[in-house]
Amino acid sequence: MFLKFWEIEVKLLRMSLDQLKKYENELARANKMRIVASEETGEVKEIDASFYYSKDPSYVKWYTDCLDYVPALQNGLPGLFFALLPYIKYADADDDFGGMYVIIDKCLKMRIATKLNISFSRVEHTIQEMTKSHILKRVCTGRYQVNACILGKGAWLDIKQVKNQFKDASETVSESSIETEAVVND
Amino acid sequence: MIDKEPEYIKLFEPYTLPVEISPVLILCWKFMTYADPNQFAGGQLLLMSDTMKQLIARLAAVTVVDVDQYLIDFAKHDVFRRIDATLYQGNPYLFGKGSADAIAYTRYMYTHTFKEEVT
Repeated sequence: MFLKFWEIEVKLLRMSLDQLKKYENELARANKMRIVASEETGEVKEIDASFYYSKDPSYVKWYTDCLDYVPALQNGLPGLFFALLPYIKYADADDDFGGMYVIIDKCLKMRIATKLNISFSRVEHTIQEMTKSHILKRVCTGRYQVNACILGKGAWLDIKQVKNQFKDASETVSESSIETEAVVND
Repeated sequence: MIDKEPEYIKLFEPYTLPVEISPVLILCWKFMTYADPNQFAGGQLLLMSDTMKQLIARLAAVTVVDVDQYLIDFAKHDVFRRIDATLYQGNPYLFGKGSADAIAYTRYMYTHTFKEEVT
């Protein structure tokens, strides 16, 4: 993996690999890859990590076998679903509800309505529709859990517990999933 | 039996896409290869042959013409970039498939390698 980055750097800086290899340990320790070298002498002046990231930026897992839920997302308001994503908590086995919930209070609804330029009642209505179509699940007042068949946030062992809670919803769409798998296998 | 995690893509911050979510997009993610430094342009490639278009059209319950239109839309909004007539690459700044290191490499290749103009 490192060699690939080395090769790019060599191409960029027109330096030989031997010249750069003596800095390999230093770079690996610092987890930084870009080298700024003097054009005249080839001496390394600075090590810059402007394009290399050792960690992913924050992300949610979007499961690719969630095809059965896509029509429900399309019929609702997809922008609203995306607007909720930054507020989803991580899956947590120690949590009473298993985590992966979002607290939708009046403040958040108003913020989303302003952001998407829609009415407050439309936001409320769409959340109700999402709950009906098993994209969200109301666990208590103002707290909605996201369907772990579509999305995941955190470790798989924790997400799996949340997914089991949506088992009933999954069973209703399992027939079409089997059909989809059969077509892929063909 | 070990319950294995299903295949997924990483949807990065700020968790938005410039196109609407659709069955065609989900299937493109499904058939896209993993980010891999040993693959051409760092991976996350989608080989969109006629057979693949027909398969996606069948699974998404749309026509092949619709799939073509979706692909034009994806390329226009930089969700997938068009490398060749049948080869597309997923934008690793929006979503990734694979390890963090591999995606970092794909991001570098996505920025620094050629990009065909969409007309």
